[in-house]
Amino acid sequence: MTYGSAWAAPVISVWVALSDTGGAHAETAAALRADVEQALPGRIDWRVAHWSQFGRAEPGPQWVVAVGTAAQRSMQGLFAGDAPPPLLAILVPRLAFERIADQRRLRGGSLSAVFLDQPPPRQLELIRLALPAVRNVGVLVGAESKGHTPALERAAKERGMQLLISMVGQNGLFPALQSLLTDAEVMLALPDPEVFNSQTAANILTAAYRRQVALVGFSPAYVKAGALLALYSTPAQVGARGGELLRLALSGKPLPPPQWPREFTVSINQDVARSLGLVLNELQLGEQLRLRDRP
Amino acid sequence: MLAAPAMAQEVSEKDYFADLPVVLSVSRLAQPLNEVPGAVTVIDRELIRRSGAREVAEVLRLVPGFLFTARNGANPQAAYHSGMDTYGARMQVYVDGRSLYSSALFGDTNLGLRGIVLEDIERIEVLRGSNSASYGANAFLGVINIVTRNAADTHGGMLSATVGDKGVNDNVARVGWGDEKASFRLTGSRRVDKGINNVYDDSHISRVQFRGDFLPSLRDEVTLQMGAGETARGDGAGTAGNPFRTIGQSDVFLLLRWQRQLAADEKLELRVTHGRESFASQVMVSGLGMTALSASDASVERTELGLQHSRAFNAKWRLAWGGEWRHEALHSPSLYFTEDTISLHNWRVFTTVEWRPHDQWLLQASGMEEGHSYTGSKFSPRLAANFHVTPDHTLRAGVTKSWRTPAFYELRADSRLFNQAPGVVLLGLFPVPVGTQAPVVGWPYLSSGTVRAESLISHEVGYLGYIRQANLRIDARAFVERINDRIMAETRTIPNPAYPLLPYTSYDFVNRPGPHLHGFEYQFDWRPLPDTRLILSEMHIRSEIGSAADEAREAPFRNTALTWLQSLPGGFEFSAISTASTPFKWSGGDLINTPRRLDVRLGKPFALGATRGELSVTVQAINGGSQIYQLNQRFDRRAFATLRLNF
Repeated sequence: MTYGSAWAAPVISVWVALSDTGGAHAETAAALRADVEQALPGRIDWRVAHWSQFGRAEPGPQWVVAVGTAAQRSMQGLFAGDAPPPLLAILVPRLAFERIADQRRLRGGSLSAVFLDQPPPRQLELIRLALPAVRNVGVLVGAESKGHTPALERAAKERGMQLLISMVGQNGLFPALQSLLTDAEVMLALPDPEVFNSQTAANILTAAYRRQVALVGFSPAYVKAGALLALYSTPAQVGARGGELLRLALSGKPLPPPQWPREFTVSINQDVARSLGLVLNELQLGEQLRLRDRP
Repeated sequence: MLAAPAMAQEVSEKDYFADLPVVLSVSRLAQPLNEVPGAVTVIDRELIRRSGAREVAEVLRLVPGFLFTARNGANPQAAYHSGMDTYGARMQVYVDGRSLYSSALFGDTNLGLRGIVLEDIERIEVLRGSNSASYGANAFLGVINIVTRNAADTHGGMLSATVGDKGVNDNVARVGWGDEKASFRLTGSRRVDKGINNVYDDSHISRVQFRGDFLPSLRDEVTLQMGAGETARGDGAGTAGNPFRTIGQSDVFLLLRWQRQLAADEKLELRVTHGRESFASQVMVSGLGMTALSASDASVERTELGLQHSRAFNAKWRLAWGGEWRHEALHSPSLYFTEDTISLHNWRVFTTVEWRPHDQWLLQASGMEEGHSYTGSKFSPRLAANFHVTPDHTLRAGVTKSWRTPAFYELRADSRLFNQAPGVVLLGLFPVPVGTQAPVVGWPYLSSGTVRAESLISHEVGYLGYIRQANLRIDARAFVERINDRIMAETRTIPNPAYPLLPYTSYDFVNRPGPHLHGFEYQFDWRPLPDTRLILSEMHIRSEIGSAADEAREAPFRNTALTWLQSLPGGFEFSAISTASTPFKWSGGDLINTPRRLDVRLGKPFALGATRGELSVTVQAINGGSQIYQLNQRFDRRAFATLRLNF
């Protein structure tokens, strides 16, 4: 693509495999490229496409970036043999990454990731900053998201809070939600298609609001739908972090271990905040959280 | 019900980028208190539970400006600012949008309030002030909105039993079931006590309530409620003219409410209610050597249809409008001296415009036009402004005119007494045969039908503040309330053609200048520590006489309620409520010198496996109590224990 480099340094071939060619995935890839291009203009021969467009027969790349879970799975599969090019998965939920990650490559340092989810201490710290009186944080978990609970429990304990866990079982979501809302003062939504999806969100939000329990979501859609707060990293934030890691690796340093996105966004639904009698400032809250995030 | 899938669905980044419907749109959110153009006190479930109250009226004592009394143990009552009547006819009470008053006599709300099951209440919102412009006639001195719990929030079973002094014996059994689309609740309750010592005022209240909540789609909410109840309460003074008797009362009702979100900022609500109520009270009274049957049997049927539409046009303008139609039919030969069913209808149209010219300002204008088949049409306007000095400090001002339309009895009363005692000869001259309308006392009430609506012009300023550093909330209101055309019962003489020398002395309902009330009230709600909450509610008021000699004493100079809620080590919860008033005299009662009452409660919530429960002991009037309503009545110390199990 970009061959007009005045540098004698060789052009590096990087594949960017997308789980989806539009929306968040494309935005993430664009941010990653912009970050790298700014530092190393013209040094990279980019090939950005849907994961299904890449085949083994072509001359292999030196680096592979997979944007999304499906892309990660396919790129791991494509380079299953010996001496595969290093793979950086970005925009992947931690649980999904850990489930499909090739353990040998992970240990060998040729596989890393920038997760899409937020570190538990950051989530609990946000709750503490926004709602200082809260002691009981509730989570509604399914078979998938229960993997998050040990770390959340630790993070809650460190802050003098208690994590109340309600497991969605055989009786379905509703009883678990109702029992959680009896004691929880705030509810932290955890991504799990079995628990939080576009069908269940309405029930969860209305039931929680009726009991004056604020919901903390994991995407801007939650804030729009009626959650008090959401903490998330945008595709641009994840992409830029991916770009930083890629640059580090390109400069010859080893690929850093899988990690949480460094930049994040706090969104507030001001109508819901007002209705709950809260005065919250998005920028201020984000800034305070950033200060505590980086010791 | 969402069945748990056999295998966990795996998370992917799609979960983070999925679109969600807008669920809590602005029109679904409750208005925060500092955006309400008026003074509102909210009492939530937690405070109700910890107050140890058995009656809604006892809970209302905690609201600034509310006075409490009990004509006898079976008629506890709260009123805002002034004890002008013993029926609660001057306040408007809604339960989930259904207005709660009894048309049979004086527009009584106290009897209906007694039937509410406290365990089913989510919260009580009390609008302190007048607002006929939004709530119609009878939103005269105070509007009480009782919101019962959504059936989706009360799944499972609940049993509660209370036993104690003075024959206190209450039971509640509740079962709730359903799924995310539809939830149901059935509550049965019984409340029994022997009232006040040495007064014939035993009461026995039983009720069955059903509530169903349906979510047929994302934008629709439907509530169906049905209820039936029966009350027996003692009354009378044990005198020949007012003998002991037991009054029976029964009612059934149905409420159907449908709310639809037309858009994120647009909502439509339809409401249908139907209710029937009947009273049975018969007693032989005697005087002047005669004996007569005094009955107040009545049956009433009421149907209401309501519609409300609200829409926010943009961040600055919001409009709500609606209408209501009501029909009441009453049959009571003993109170109205006709075998016919008498009826009235009433219609209302109202609108409210809200304008935010600036972030700090909220201006509201509302008006209601009401038509009544007896008293014609009336217009109630209201203007209010809120100014947010900062987001935590709001100043309010408002002016409004409200009405109270006369109740059926005030319009149409015709109670007659016929002699049942053979051989009565008055003054040795006038024989009164059996079946003859008793001379002099035989026509206790005859309404001339000329009575008009009472009016009230109210001016208020208020402050609502939250001092975050101290965790202190302040709500203050200063008011001038000018009541005019107060409806009063006055005696007049009606000629008696059968005995021209013994005319009837009979009560008629007339309009007289009413009292002018002015004063201020405030509430400090302070949570100095996570386990401590202190609420001080106080009113200072002066009343200028309109016409009745006692009017100035119908409001005490000062009325105070101090509530202390304390969580103790070991999971115990303690609460104390102290109420006191300077001397005052409720309409028809005696001047009571400084009534004071201290209630304390100790509760211990516990869990036994999946069953949760609470054991509590309440002592009401632990200070020994005080006289109540009349000098010969005392609200004495009483203790009771409650065990509640949720499973």
